[in-house]
Amino acid sequence: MSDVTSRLFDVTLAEAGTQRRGHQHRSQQSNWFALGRRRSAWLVAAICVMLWTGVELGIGRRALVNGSGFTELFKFVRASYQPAVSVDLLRTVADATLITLAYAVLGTMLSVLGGLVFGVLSTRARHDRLTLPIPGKVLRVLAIPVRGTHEALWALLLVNILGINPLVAILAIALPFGAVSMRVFAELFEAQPRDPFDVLRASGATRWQAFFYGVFPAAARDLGSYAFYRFECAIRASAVLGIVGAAGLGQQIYLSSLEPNYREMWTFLWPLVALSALADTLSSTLRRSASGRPNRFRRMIRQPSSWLVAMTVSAAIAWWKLGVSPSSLWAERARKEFGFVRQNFLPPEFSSDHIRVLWPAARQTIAISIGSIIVSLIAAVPLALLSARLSDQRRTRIAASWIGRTILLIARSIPPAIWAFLVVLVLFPGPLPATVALGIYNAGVLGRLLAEVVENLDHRPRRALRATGASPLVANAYATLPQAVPSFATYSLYRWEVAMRETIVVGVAAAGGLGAHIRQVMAAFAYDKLLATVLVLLAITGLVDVLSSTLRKRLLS
Amino acid sequence: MILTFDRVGVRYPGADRDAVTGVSFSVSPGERVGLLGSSGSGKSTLLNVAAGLVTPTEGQLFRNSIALAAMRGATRRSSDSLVGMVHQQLDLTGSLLVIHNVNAGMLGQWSLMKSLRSLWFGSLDQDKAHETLARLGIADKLKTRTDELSGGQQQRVALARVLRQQPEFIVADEPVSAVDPAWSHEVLSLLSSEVTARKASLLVSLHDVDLAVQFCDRLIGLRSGQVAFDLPAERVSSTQLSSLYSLDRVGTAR
Repeated sequence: MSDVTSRLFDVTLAEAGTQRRGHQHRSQQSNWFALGRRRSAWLVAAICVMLWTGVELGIGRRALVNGSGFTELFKFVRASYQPAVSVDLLRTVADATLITLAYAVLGTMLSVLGGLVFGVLSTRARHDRLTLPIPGKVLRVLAIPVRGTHEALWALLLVNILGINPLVAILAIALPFGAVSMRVFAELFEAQPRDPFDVLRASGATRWQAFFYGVFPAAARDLGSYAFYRFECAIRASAVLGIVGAAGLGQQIYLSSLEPNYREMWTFLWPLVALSALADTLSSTLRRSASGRPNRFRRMIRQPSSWLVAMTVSAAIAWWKLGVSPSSLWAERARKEFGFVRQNFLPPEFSSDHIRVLWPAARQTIAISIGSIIVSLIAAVPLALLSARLSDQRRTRIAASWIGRTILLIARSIPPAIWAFLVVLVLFPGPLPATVALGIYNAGVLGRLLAEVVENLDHRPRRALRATGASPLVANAYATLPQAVPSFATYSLYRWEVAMRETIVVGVAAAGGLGAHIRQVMAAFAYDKLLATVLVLLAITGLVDVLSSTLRKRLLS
Repeated sequence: MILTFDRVGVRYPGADRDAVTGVSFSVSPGERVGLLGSSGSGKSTLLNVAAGLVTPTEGQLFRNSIALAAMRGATRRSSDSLVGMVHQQLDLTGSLLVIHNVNAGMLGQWSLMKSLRSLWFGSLDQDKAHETLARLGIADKLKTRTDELSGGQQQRVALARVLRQQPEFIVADEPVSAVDPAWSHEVLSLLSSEVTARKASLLVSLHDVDLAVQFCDRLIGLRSGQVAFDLPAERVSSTQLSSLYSLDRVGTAR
């Protein structure tokens, strides 16, 4: 499989059809066995990495568990089925939900639009130089730091320029998401067969005409489902931004956690879970109805104009709800603040004193990201096996899969920072709770992906083993896991990249790694140190990116 | 349109020998020329050169005595719009409605705005697209998604795209290699009558020698990238034909 398609698959999180994924498994499988010859070397390397991670996270060096916190955690769990309810509170819930949605809508729309424009412009020269004004390579390079910076960091930086302004949250979502979409869209265009484009060109069509008749329609379905996947992510991001100060569900959750009022927290957490579930089902319904026999609904959603109407209406509502005023971008104040930022941020503080603080924090951050993947794999693999929907199902199995799915949904719809708040109740603040919190959240995402992998496996070997009298556990170990391991590894490595970006948020909440450092320098208004920290973080993120894609290539090629 | 190959040679990047070398011939308006040769003899390469998809590494291609390499921008585009191509692998955009794939033949003459308007509003010039499809017997498929059609129907759509374009020169690469005999006949007589009626020209590669003799005025035999013969269809001898397909170390190398 080409590098482009494999990366595409990771990035679009297996959004596309079963058929292609089936193909992926076959090619992975053969290579996995090739890898087997050096299996022990890999195993030793993995154990070394795990040991190092454990040491960095401080396991065995100090007290980790705060026994008295369990009563608090228990109170929190008990509050889940008795959330606080009052007319006033419900009005706040409705308002906060709308605001969270509105940020997500505008942020997604802006990022998809920007991603489309720049994605088309940065499409590689294979399609006969679609790019003209700026070379695509320049755009691709410029996009790397934009997508490497977490939404929350963007918000922190932007709030210094724009002040309290709804545009902060919108741009904080749109900038990194737009940069990611740009890459994915360009890769989607490049992955289309080029013959239709060539033949149209040969018959006198211009580049753009040939693009819109020969390439864009072929990519349109994948573009749409990716845009929806981004919307799902934007809802979560919009809630996370609440912790940085943007209005909405995230902010309300944060405020109630300060008291702490657990029942009120749940009043705002449940709508967030519901919103995530809604976006989830909506996008999978749309994905499924994009193929299949046309009926009235499907015909409607295949009509580009109905998309345009829906998007315009929701954008207008969101715009009105948030009271966005783009003129504040070039207002007097913004200009003045921009000058302030320029003066205070530059140059980044790389004195030896600061580096002495940054270095261990950076190591800790890497350890958090690795540790969180280990935690999430431990949780996600059994949950994925539990929640995969297989064809030969009895009623108990279906019930089990629903339970698994619900757990995964809750794990991924509660923002990592909230998980960090909860974990800190029972673990002393530091890198370990940050790791566990990120691990729980990641387990939710990874579990869903792995469940899909399991669903698309060849299940005949497992059934054959079961028929010979093997227990379910043994049958899975012999027939399911060997098939699934390569995809599991690929997805885990991909999630490692994502987790790297997220360490910052859990770090702020649980006091570990560079996140904790960011909190300190923000409190001291040391912007030059902030910039230095962000640059270090970007460097590590880039490193992890390269490492993970090299490892994935080793696994696949 | 008069199309002239002048000592055309093509070597693909990384290849150790020319795909075609020193090919010279020309095709006049109203002529139907068949290209024959075993696989690997350079038929597809020559057709791609004619369509402007492959640039010769040696020699020149002339359209109406103007070198294609010398044409730029609008001149090149209007010249390209006079050449239509039918591919063995169809090259349709599966997710578009049939009507758009048919109208894609008009892109060389339409402005960008007009082509986008046509995509958005379910197509301009519906009557003409409909008429073209009716000639091929699939008028009812106008508003169907192209990838929902059967293979044979998709082939008709690809033909409709070329007919809609009304080119002065049709380049066809194995247009009937994967269809049943009756439909092969139909496709070729359609292309051939279109060419005769509009004083256009046809350059077609075919596997089936009988079909070539029946539908072409002139046959060009290719052997290892070189012209083995170039004769009126009725004067090609069976020895000449069998020499094309005889096992030949050079011709079938690799």
